[in-house]
Amino acid sequence: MRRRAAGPAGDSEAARSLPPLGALREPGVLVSLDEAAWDQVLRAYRRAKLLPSLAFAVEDAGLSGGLPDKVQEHLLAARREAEQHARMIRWEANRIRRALRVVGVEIVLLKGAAYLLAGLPAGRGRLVEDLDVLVPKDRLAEVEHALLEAGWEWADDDPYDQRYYRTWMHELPPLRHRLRATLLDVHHAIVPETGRLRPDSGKLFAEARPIDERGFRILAPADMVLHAAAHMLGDENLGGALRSLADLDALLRHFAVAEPGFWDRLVPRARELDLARPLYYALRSCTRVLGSQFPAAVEDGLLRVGKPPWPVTGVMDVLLSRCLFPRSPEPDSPGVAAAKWLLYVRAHWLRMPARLLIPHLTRKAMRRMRGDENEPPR
Amino acid sequence: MILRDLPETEHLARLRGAGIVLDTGPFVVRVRSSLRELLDPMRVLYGYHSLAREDGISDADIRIDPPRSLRRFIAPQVVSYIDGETPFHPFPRRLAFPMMEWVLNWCLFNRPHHYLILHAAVVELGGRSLLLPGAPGAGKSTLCAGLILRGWRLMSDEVAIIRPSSGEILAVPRPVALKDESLAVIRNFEPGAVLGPSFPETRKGTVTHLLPPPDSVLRSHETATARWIVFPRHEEGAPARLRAVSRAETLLRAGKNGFNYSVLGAKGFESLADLVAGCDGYDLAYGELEEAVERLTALTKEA
Repeated sequence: MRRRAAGPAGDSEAARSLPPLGALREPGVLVSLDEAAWDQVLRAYRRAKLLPSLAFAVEDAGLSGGLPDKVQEHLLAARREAEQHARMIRWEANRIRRALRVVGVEIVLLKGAAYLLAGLPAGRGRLVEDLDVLVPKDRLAEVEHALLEAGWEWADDDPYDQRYYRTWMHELPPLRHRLRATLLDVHHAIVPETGRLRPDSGKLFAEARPIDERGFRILAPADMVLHAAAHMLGDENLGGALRSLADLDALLRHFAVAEPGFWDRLVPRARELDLARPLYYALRSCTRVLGSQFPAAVEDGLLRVGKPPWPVTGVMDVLLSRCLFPRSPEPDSPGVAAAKWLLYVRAHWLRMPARLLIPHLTRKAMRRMRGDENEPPR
Repeated sequence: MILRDLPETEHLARLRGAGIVLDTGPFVVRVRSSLRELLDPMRVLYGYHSLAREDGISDADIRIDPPRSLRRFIAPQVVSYIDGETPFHPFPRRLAFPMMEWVLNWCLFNRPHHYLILHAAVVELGGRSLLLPGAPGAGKSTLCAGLILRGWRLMSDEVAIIRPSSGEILAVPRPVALKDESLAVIRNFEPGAVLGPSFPETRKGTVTHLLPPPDSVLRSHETATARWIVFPRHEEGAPARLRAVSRAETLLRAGKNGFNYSVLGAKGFESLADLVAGCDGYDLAYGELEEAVERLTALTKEA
């Protein structure tokens, strides 16, 4: 495979020539790749933060030994990185449990930390950088107090950001313990209350399940999938969208086998929690990007309750295909950058009413231009 | 083929196209840029590095370019891409080459977890290597430059790359970054030293790079065993003196200079302990570079 020069044309060609993300499920497709193709794979998966997951998939399939030396080295390095993340998250969870013992509140782990501590396949090789937890809204003040007493600090002091999180989002501003690097996000709902979607947190707590790790629970399978779907496109950081998709696919494959009645529950629960639309996009993306297949009954059910009106489907398909399909490790072409920007605005639109949206986005843009420390480069 | 043998036009064409792919020992780096001004510093400072296969696997793939925003024209900046992302804040455009070096360092410090990586300069003489772990400002780069200008082989001025299973040190010879007064000291020490352009007003003051000796670059695939670990401290006017440090203290202090020590976990500790067990540790206080170099070279005669 000849190296192609970068640039919009080169970018989309490289993207099409990459092995699809199905390599995570069927690592055997990688065995016949030459070094030039491997270079692209390593870089693209690293960009998507999926290299450790790929590394574990390759190892679990017993394929590591036959690969070129440099590939083995990169995959080993990726596995080590993920192992360290796992250690840090377990420790952070342990410290949080200690700090909140006095409050006696139910803590539900979310996202990566949940997958990891519950021993789910989605947690294997996942780079978990932040720890997300869900606590009841009426205990939020006590939780905040206990954490601050135990040595956590606000990761960002800026008053605007503090207000943004508390008033308009569904979480405390991010915390970081003064002795460690892990960010802690304490949520009281899984999507912002000011947003246009309104899932009921009480229902989530009612179905939450215990895990081996004492003091923590995780969401019920359908709820976990719906949460992942809501955040795939709802988060500000769209760079993580491909990884969220991989998480979703891993969760779906696992629950399809391990959880009796999972498929029957999924669409009705989506409707109950007002998350049918995100689920629609999530399953559609899984099918188009990963080639996943779902029971016909589920797809039909979703089409009835989750499918957006006709012009929107078309537009979203284009936006998603530009952003989420296996990307090359080259800088985004103007088309992809524009698609990302539109999805980024949409994510904010979902979280806040229009009158807040434009001032908020303007402010973020200005901070980025000025090189504000609290505003990471895009 | 080495970089300086590539005609300038071809060098620029590749830089702007598929990239210049360089062999820097265990790491292959690919650099792409539209900036003509990177050409000269690269030819001066990486001139003796071999070009690696273009269709192979790179360990660091970076691109340095003007941003797409207005800052392309107004108070011009450059941004760096690693695998398509821009994780760092932009630099002023005149600092494009320091940015390239800085980003390559970042890749070296943060990625290769199949090795144990320490923040240290490493030089070698007679098959045995000397590690200089370095708090910033301790003078390790100056000392490293002095040693290589007096016959030691440069293995690296920033990172000790250690194979965990065997304790072997691998060489990654690259331009040695000299800051502020260090430049004057080296010019004085060795007037014939080949230096790149000076870049004032970086975050660390004025930065100038010393060419890695061609012999060091040619031998970049030769590994070495660690024999001495020396913690340098520059003190104006002080005579050069070595004070032996216990193995336990050496292990702790070397560990503090680890880049990925905690990523490797228990294995990191064991590998470093094994390495230190085979080394003598010292504190070195020094004022005059020549004296310090002599004192360290004398170590190699001792045993």
